[in-house]
Amino acid sequence: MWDEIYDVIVIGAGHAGCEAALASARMECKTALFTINVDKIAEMPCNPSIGGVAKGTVVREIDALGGEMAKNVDETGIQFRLLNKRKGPAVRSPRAQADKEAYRKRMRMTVEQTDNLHIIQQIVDDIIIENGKVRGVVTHIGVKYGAKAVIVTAGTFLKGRIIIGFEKFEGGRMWEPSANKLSEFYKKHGFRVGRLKTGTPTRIDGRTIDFSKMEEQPGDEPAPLFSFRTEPKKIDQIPCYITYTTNKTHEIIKNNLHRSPMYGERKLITGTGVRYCPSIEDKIVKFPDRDRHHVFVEPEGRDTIEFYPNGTSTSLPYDVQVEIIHSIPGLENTKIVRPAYGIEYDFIDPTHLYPTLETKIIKGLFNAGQINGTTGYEEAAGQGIVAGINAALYAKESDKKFILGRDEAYIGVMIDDLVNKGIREPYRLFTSRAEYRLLLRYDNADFRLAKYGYKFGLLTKEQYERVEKKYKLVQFFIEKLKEIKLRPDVLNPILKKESSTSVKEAISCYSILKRPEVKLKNIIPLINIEITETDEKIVREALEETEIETKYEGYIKRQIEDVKKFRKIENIKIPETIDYNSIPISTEEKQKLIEAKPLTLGQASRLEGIRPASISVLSIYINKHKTSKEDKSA
Amino acid sequence: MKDHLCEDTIAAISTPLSKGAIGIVRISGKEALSILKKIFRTKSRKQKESFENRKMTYGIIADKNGEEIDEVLAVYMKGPKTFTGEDIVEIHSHGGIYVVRKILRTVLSCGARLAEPGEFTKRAFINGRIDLVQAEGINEIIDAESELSLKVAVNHLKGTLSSKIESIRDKLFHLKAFIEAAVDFPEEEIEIIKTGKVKEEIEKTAREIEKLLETYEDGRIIREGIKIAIAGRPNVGKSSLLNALLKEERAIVTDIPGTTRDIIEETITLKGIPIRLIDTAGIRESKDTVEKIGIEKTKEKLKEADIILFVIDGSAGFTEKDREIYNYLKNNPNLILIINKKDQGIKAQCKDYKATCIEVSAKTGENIEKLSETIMKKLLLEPETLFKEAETIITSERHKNLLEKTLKNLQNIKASIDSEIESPEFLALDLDEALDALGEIVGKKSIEDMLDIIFSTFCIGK
Repeated sequence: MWDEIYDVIVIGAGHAGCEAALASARMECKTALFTINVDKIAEMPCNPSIGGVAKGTVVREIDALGGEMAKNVDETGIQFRLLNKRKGPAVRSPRAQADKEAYRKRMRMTVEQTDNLHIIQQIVDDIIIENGKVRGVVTHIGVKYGAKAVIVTAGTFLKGRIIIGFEKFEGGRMWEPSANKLSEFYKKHGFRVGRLKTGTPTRIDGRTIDFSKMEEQPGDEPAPLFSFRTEPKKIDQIPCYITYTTNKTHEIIKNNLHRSPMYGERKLITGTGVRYCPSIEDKIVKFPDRDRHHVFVEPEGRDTIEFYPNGTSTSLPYDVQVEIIHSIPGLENTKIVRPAYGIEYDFIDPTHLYPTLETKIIKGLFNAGQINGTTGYEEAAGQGIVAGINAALYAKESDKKFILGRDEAYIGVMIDDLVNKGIREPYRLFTSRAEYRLLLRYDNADFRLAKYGYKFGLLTKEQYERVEKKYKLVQFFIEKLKEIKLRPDVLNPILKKESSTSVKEAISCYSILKRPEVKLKNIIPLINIEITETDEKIVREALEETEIETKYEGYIKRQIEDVKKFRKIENIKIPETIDYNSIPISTEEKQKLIEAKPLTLGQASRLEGIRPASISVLSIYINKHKTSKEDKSA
Repeated sequence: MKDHLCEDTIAAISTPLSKGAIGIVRISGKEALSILKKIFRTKSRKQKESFENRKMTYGIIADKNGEEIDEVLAVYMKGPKTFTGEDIVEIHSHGGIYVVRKILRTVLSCGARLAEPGEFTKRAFINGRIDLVQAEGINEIIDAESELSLKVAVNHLKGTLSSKIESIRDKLFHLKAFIEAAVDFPEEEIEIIKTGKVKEEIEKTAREIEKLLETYEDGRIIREGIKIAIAGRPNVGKSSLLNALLKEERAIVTDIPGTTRDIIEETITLKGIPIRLIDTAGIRESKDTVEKIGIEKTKEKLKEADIILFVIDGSAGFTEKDREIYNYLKNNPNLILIINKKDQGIKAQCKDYKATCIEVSAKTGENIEKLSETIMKKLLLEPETLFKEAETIITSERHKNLLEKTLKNLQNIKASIDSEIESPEFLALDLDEALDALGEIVGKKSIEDMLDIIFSTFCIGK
């Protein structure tokens, strides 16, 4: 019956699909990666940029788990910056501009060169289910592939419709066919399917841009790279540019709103758009008081003339797009290479998922990425690697599940939000979504997650040992700093230089380092500690870590206390056999819990419509259940 | 917590166990109606198949053996829109202790369980009928011993305090939104901290909380009563002075056994404000007064007192024994010296003493009203204002502690802003904690531990 049988099939080769397929194959599962177009593997249909606040931390997390995104952008990035540099370490985050073409090429090569991984260029029309379990897939040319697990990472392709003004046509991305049948599969099996909207601006010809009218935004030196595994290197960085919309821009948009498929006479777009990444017409309509908006002009690569005018995404008709671009300083004579467009697509309600990203309705079926209602390459990739690991564990018939807690990773926060709260608009990560963000920093992602990457075989022993070495060294530094006291005559000259109040008595390095203006690099030369570690990168990162841990110790400790409280109910597992109907809580809550199937009491407490008091009742019930079971077994 | 929470049907006598016109047995839970059907007979001695929701039905309660107990009015209230959120049945019988108990026993024999103290309210809370402040409000109403404490309690039940807390919480929430925007959207270059907006808002909110906290002292007075100790030699007229003070007020409300054998406490109300009289037996009974004053317990009690009334017999003059006591007390700012028996002509006069002093006659009532006023003045209490402000008075220690925590968080934020070094996410940490603490007051967070504490101090529903 099957043309070929796989352990894991991944449908879609975008950022979620690549991470999922790589994780699965690296965990030694025979894996197939389906794509509509092999040339478009790891395509960046919108901004060719990776990272940003919270998102950059996600990329570091994916890297610590043994994923590919960080390495890929380190190899192909053309501008690197650290955002929120002047703020605290917890909200700093790297962001890079990638060479779009090179990014795609390198990822494709990585996928192609991975053992156990086959790329197949066909459209999957249906997924075959038997007894509530995944069996395989059928493609548009009638070929059947068997699989123990299937991961759907369909991005914007499910019934994708592209809209420019009142023109509307099918497409998963511009000039790429949409996947029109897979949504039907979900509907048939009782999944709630919704509609979302996103969009992308024009691409403009760099030869026709007057950069002299714009503010240059260079990359940071040395380039803040993403991967813990990338050795420091010199990157030939290309600057971005900043310009602004003008009154004229706003006039043009206001005068043409009647031609907008969202605001105009014909409401072609009904899907919910991204509030955090609004189209230019959204910004004008919703913030009429602002007299100008940022436009970041970003190169799409080293070998192209195309630039990305970030902030001008629109689904207004083409002639208006031209007018808008020409109203912006520096772009007066700019030629448009590709038109801007809006796109609508189906997503599957993520509350149908367990935190493993497996669906509750069908065993062995996993959804990851934009299909779950998220936006952003990083969010997609983060889900991809989690789904990949879990699908591989499932295919291997392992009892293990890979679930990241809200206290462990942004990826954990995101998946927890998605599966427990669902979405009302495209979901993007923010640092404010993470209760314990002072612990979920970009600098310590390896400390938090490398243990999992190693455990699942995605990091080598050597890679993991490096992480261990680094954090042992941090411990060593902190101990030494606490131990060693500095006399005023040694310390005060340094303090004076940093315009810090002088000390009268000897003080430990640790205490003096707590002062915000005192830097560790100035203290180190004053003390004599023997560092046996020869790897410069490890020493440098360990020193950075030591400084953060010391300076923010008070805050960090407070959050660790909060995590302890959080873990108290997070660690209480709800037995699979629980009968919610026998628990004295409201009927609505019973229905909610029966459908949501929370795995832990903590997860139950985050479901909407479950009152705290009912969690107490539930906890009593679970305890009773446990004792009565113990009684029986005794 | 008990593990039979909400699964079964509970019953209790809801009126005081004393002779009265009526007594009420209340039943709450799934079986409430079926229990009623089992024991209720119509006038014509027939079983009744259905009860109209929320309508009083006249009939007879009979026990299992068919023996009639009493004529009653019974009402069935279908959940969830009832006090507990469950089906409730109330049986209103005649008020004899025996009758009401017998009805309760009959109800219990039909499958209900005797409710624990506070369990009806606990169910109301668990089923989402009331929030925590309201639940505590019910407790306060039941315990209210004065007009003022009743008013405060009623306001807690109505949610006046809750909405005040909610409004503070709302403001902080908005502030947090701004701070978060500054963190998550660096490209927007939102500068909120430097503009002083955050600081201004934080200071404003901190002041609001400080004002709420200031009411706690009044709240304590409402909850615990003003502690007044009476000292003086025997037979100087202490008891008659007390009775004179109480003349216009309700009589003694409750007797609370003292913590030691020597000290007896009584609660009265004065101008609607509860007063706790601490009568030091030592001073009253002992011949060797000074020695008795030396007793630690008595000293402590005197120290705790908000007011010390030191009574002397003016007709007998200021005796040596009076002086001994006076010397011990004279530096206490809470002291009021009372020269009694003005009607008999007094040999001691107020002008000779440094302490707040008043000449009265307990017998004729002369200057007794002035004494009440003096007590209030000394406590800086204005009964009228208190009644007006009773809307948002903090009476619970739990609320006070959480508000103090909130205040501390707000002060941290202020300090961080002043030191100009902290990044917004650190302010957000304190803001989060403040929001959590405020949420805890109205019962929105980490309920687990709190439930037990709160409901174990409850003593109602029986």
